[in-house]
Amino acid sequence: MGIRRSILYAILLLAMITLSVLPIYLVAQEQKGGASNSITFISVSLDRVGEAFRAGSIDAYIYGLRPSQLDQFQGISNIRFISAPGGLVSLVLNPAPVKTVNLTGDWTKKSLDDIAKAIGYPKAVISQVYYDKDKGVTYVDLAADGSNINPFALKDVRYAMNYIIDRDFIVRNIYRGYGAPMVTFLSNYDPTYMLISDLVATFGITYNPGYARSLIEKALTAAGATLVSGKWYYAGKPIQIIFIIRTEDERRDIGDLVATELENLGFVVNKQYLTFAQALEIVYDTDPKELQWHIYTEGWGKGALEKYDSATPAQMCAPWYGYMPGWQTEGWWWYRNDTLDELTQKLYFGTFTSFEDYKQTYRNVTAMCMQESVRIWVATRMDIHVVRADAQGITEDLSVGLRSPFNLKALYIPGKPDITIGHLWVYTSRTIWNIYGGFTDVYSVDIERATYDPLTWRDPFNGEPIPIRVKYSVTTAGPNGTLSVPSDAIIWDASQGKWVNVAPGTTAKSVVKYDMSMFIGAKWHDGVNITWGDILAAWALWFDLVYNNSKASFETPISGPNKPFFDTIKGLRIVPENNTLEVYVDYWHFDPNYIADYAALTPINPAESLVLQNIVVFDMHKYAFTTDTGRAKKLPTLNLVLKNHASDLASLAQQLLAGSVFPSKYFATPQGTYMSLSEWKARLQAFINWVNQHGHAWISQGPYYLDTFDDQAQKAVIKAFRDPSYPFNPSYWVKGSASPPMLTVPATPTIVVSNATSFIVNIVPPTITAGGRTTVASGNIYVQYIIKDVQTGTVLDVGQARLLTSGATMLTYQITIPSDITKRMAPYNYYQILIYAFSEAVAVPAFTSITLQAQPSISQMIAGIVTGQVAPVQQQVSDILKRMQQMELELSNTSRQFTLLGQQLGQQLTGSLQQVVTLLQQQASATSDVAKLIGSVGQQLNTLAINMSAIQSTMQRSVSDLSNAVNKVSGDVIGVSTSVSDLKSSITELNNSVAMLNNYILALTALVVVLIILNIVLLIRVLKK
Amino acid sequence: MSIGIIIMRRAVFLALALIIAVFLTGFIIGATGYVDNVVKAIINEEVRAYRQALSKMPNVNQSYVDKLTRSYQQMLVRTYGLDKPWIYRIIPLVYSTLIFKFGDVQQTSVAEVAGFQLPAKASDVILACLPRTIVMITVAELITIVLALLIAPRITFKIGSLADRIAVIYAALTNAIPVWWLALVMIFIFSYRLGVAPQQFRGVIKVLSTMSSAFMAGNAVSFFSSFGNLLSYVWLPILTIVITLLGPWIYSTRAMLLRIVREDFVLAAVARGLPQKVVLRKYILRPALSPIMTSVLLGLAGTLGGYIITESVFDWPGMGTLYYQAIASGDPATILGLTYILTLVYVVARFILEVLYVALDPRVRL
Amino acid sequence: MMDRFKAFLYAIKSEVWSQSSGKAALTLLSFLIILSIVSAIMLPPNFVSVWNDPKPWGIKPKDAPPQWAAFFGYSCAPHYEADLRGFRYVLGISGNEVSLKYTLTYNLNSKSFPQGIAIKIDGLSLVGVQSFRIVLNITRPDGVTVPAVLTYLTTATNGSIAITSIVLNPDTMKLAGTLITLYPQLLSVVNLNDIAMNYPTYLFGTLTNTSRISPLNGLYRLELLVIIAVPRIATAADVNNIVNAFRDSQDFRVAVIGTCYGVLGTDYRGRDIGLALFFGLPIALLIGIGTAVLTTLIGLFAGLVSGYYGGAIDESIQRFIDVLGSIPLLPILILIAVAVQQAYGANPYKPIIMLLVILGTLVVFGWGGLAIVVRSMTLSIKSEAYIEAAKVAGASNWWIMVKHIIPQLLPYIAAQMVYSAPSAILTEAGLSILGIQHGLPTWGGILADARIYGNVSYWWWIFPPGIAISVTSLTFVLLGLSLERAVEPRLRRV
Repeated sequence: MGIRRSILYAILLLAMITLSVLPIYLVAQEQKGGASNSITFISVSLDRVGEAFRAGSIDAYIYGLRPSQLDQFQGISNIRFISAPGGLVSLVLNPAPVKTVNLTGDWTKKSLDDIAKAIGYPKAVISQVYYDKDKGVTYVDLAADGSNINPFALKDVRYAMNYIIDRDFIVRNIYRGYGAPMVTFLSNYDPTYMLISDLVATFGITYNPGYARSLIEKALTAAGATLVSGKWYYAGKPIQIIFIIRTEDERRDIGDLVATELENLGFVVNKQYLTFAQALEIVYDTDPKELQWHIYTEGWGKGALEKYDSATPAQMCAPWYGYMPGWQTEGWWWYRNDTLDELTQKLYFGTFTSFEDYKQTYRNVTAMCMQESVRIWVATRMDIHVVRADAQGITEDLSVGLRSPFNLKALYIPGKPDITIGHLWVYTSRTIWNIYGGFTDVYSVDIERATYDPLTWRDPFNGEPIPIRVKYSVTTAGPNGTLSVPSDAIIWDASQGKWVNVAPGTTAKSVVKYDMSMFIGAKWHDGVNITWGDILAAWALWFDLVYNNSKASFETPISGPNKPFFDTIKGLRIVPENNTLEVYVDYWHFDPNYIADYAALTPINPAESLVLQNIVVFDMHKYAFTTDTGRAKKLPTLNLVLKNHASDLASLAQQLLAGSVFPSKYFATPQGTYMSLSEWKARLQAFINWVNQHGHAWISQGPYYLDTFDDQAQKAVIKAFRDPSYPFNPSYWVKGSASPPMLTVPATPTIVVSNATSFIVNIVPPTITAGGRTTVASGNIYVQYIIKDVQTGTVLDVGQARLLTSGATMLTYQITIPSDITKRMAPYNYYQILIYAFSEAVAVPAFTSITLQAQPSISQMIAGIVTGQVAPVQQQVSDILKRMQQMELELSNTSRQFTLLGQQLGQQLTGSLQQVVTLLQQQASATSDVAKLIGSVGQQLNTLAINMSAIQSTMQRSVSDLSNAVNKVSGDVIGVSTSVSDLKSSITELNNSVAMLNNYILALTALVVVLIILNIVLLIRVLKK
Repeated sequence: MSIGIIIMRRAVFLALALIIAVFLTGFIIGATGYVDNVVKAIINEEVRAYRQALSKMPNVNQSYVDKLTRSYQQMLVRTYGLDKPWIYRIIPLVYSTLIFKFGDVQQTSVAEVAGFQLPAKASDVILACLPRTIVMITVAELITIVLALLIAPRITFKIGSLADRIAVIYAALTNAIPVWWLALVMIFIFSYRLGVAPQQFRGVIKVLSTMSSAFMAGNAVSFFSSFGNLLSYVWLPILTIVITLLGPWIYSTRAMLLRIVREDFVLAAVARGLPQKVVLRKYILRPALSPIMTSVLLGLAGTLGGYIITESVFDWPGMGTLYYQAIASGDPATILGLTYILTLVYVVARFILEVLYVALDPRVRL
Repeated sequence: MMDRFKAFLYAIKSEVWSQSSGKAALTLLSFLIILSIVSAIMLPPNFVSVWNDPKPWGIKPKDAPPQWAAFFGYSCAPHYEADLRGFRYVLGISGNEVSLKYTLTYNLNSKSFPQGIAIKIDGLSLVGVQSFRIVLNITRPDGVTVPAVLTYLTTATNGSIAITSIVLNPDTMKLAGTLITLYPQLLSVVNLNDIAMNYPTYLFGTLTNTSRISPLNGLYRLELLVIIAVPRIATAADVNNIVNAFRDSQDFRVAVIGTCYGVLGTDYRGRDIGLALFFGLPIALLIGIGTAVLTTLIGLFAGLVSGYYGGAIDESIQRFIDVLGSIPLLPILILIAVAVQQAYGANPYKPIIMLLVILGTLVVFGWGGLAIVVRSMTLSIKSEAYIEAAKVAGASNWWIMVKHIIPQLLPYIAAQMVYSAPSAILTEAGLSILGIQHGLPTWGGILADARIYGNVSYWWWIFPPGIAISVTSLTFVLLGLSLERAVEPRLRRV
């Protein structure tokens, strides 16, 4: 018996030990791969997201919700809204002339007066002068030609439009607060805004219809239009504006708002509510000169966060790009501006020579674009994503919100290993999963990005390229120097179809050395090792696609745009010993991270998958890579997630396996071959097993692998890739959320004319909270201030604040306003100080503005007192006494009138009458107080006389007290008399509004009562019968 | 002239009306430039997106960007056939549609309604969407008609009775409720609050495709096994449509019977003590059969067109969604194909009616 | 002519009024007609343009249920508007500045937060002034004063300030900054941007211990300071001008925007749905009765003629109906809507013209179904014995049709006319959803907005128009019921 018991004890002891060790093992080594065990993506329509969260069927929703759709979440407590810029809204104006006069020779250099004399029209109507070099003709465009006029052909009228857009009203009421006003093509959600914020502030664009009216009056009267009883006429006809308003989204409300503003300015507005096709047909498919439209509400998507933006100025301001009226269509009138063309091309094609050159060009383009005002900017619309409040591992990307790959890879909910994410769709006709021609829609891209790790990606808070699964070092000889490319570097020769050494003497501007050790040795999702063969195949197949004529001509939509990139790749060099890949490239940027990001080509699918795809498209012509080629050649577009496409690839792999066909050319380089036949066969077999097991052919190397994809049921499932060879655990991806710097002015200064003043600005530096820990974001902070005169809108001073102390959690800066600035201020005028705080770490700047009234200096004050105030005081006191008797009289007859009113109205209004009566009593008591006040004023007056003698010693303080007191006294008296007379009129007015309200209520109640009685009677009668 | 010849003449004229209808549709969408405008707008958007994608390619010079964008635009114009005037595109398409050779779908959004990717033929897209609408709207209409034909005669027979009043009031109220609104309320109550009905109705497409493939393959087992699954999806939409359609059907059938219910032969039948069932069937329904059959057949033919808004509420891509998407994205092949099939069914229904008029009431001479 | 009219009135009185359904129908019909006449009279001339302009509605709550929803347990933050033109103020003068100080109180007692704060100024013109400044401070029930919740500054252009219409909202970023300095513990829950984007939650709320924000109920004191600077030391005349300018302005009100409003609640732009229903009534009747009468008459005439005459006429009419019925109606409507918009561009009556054109198209394409059924009925009636007898007796075709066939058809015709009125209103709603809009406030328009912007929990967008349409349809149905007796004598209670 004993033995069995002791064995029992031993087993128990053993179990205890292992049990205690196990949890330690689990916690210590956090699991590799995705944060949750699995993520299921399902499609949820926009009006049912609230219900889906209430029923607990989704844990996050990553399609942008409109602000007006947020009310469906009322009463749901455990959710959080994360907003990210969703789109931009602007108004494009049609600057086309009503008449064009051609002059031979180049007149652009001559003055407007000479041109005006030459064409016989007043100078004010000339809107654009353009010299066509090849034809040798100058086109002079006229905004008005005597019979009709296009107000927007005049630059000043276009510029005035900036001041009639009430951007705060639009953001607050139409976008329900989820938006940011914009006065130029960048908003404070764009990192590059830092370079132009002070310039934009100098334009001082705010909602000021009065100022707009004055600008328009000056411009239109000069052009010959007349303002008759508030309406603008030209050549006897009212000036009509055709306003094309899109109806599908908030642009309809914005259109209505702006149309009313235009009517207030005196224009006749022809509003046209049109949908997508009809609107585009009028605006983009007719010659602007036909003037079928004057204003159109434009909408734009929001690109990714870009630290040094280069494309937006060209897209939004420059004619050459094709987005300005005329749309680069042959034979139509075009909006022209050669300087804007030249400057924006310098930015777009990166031909700037330094950061300073880039910044100065960018500022010049912004200034010119705002003066031209062909596009009036309204607001950035925020999209709102929803996530459970208890979700962890969140990254709030400033440009794409929850859709950032950092977020999808690290998102988990404690206690819920399998989470569900809702999207508008999982599969649509544009959802194409193939890296060459696919991933053009947001639904495929969001899921794909969770299944692979890129070489580099953009920092979610400031748009700077950062390394992800590589380390890199960049050496560059730019912008004009070159490096020599080593002779053992290789390049793909498409004509011979094999890797060859680069020609001797090849040079490149820069070289990026990528340490690929986190790729080589790790595994693809189907268990195959990632080798140099995969990387070589990825590069080789792209070179082939761009340079092999048969492939390039078959898929021009891919080869065309990518050829310039591969033209700049001068050579690759593999150093397997320390796992580095050197890429020699003819590209320079003043920020080395941009060079590393430019030259990075990520191996997303294994070599065998890429080769199979290329064969089935380019050799068998059974599929196409892009929908455009598919539509043109009547071929289906290859989509790795569709069952029949995947099984076609698997059967091709079977054929290659059977015939042991081994395309060694992709893997053989002069230095060595990186793929053996046996390894190739094992890879094909692994590919076939994967397709049979999962029903699709998407294999990649990220923290999640695509388990199942059901296009008809709109459902996709990705599962965590827990392979030990995978380098990262979930906390690697958690970037958390960034709060921008916070700027406070503890003590608002007082500005005294011609005295220097300075004040302190406290800055709480930007912080990044990730996984519960909040750290201060590194990177220096610039504090800019702009002083503006509110009356004229002119800028007095622009400067940088001086750093005083920089503590851990608080930095203090000092802004000094020198006396030569305050000398130019007028007393009692208002001055606005705009303060911006930019940090390199977090793109969103902190901004505040304080408004101050310039106080008169002492000398001005004394002069003012002596002349202005003491003399008239006596005269006012006598007035006061006369007023008092008159007031007694009025008070008595008002109360008599009042009782009369009471009888007429009858009981049910006595409630509100009581209220009025008490109001009257209060007023009466207030007058009695004033009587007491008058008494005290009397004493004050004689104390005042005593004080006069001691005036020299207390001149400074008492003088200001005196003037206030005296003013207050006369003010109170005047106030009393005006408020009494004002009371009388308000009673009469109350009288008739009560009457009007009375019969309105009576009529309404009578009608409602009648209706109800009738219904009841009717229903009873009808049912009884 | 004997009835046979008249019927034959009528058949010829019906066929003529069908051809005219398809031609007129072609003329409307072609000559007014409706289709061209929509397609031009779509091309415009695609070229702008292409140029925006180009902006991600630094180190490209301007002439290269212009050349690429222009060649891309020409390729799109060729694929959509905009290089030829509408006459050469739409009219041959009308001919081929009339001989059942429907054209190809041009727009991805139209193919997507059926769940296909391009390239897809208009006929496949229509045949994919037809069963979804039949299983929802046509079945609901059928149930409503059967119920109406049961209820209406009874209440008309006892005109003025309480049942008659209730039916009329019910008809008045339900006639004022839009189907799509009731659908929203039903989903809100049954799917989300009671959890009795599914929240996502999209699964029905999968069920229908398995059923149709089983039907093709002829194995009845899998056909009927997925029938239960289909029912779980389809009962809520059918219930919603029956609720809103029953009122109007009862009211209009009752109105047709009013003329007959007080005829002498009916009173005589009642006097003879015939049971109510016989009186209703032989003496009331029988004479009113031709107007009733007219509204029944035309009603059923009409349902094939689908309900645009209700289908979007149930996220149930049927013929209505296909019709709206084809019009919104200006796809001539699908518009003509849809018009042709719906008009064909309508014309066949009219032909059957013509025959029925004579068969049901020999006294009638056309 | 008069006696025929008297006879008609007598017939109505004796036939229709005698029955209970007749009484109900006539009273409801008269009520509807009176209401629509009243609404037509009371319709302010620029109502349609004000209805489409978002600015005047900027200070009304959006998507707010009716006030009386509070009785059904709906948590309502009260909506408070004060017209400052007649409101008590304390006048202050210092140096060149005249200040008017208004003190208002707002009592919050609910589970939900107000939607915001706004000041609306219309038609204010100040002459001989230098600048005009507004500062709104709020003292919360917990005694803390939030300074400068809403500030506004405008300076005179050549000596005068003219404001046509402006709605002022708080500067959300600055307000968020002040709230954080006053309540630093907020930062533990949200960041600056979250506060800025929905400032009412934090302005009217307090941080509970469970780190959630719940409404801070109690009395809020709003202190509104209006400061006007004149370019000289202020005199009595200046003060009077300023006070009169504010009193004579078209509108000067401050509003704490609540979450419940009015008799029938508001839509997504803050517009009172009661107004849309009230002024939409005449248009709804026009749509309903207009289309119903026209389609029924054309359908009756076409069906009758083609059924009675048969032969070539019957063939041509029926085939015309077939073609008309199978042409896709939607593209035609879209084309026509675009054409009308372009043709009547700036014409103020454009919305009404568009509505009439849309109705016209619906009528032209709508009468086919009825004609077919009427034809089938005519075919069976035509073969009755007494028709043959009348023909033998030498009655003209026209006489037979009017005297014999039409009375037989009248019950069905009355039923169809009565029936197509409400469905016409719903069709108009459907078209607005599909993007064919005319801009008039119609019942269908409200339903369409409910589908585009709202969700099913906004019952106050759906039930009122639904009830209004069903009351209208009930009126016509009851009328039809009572007409039955008059039209078909044999139907009298036996």
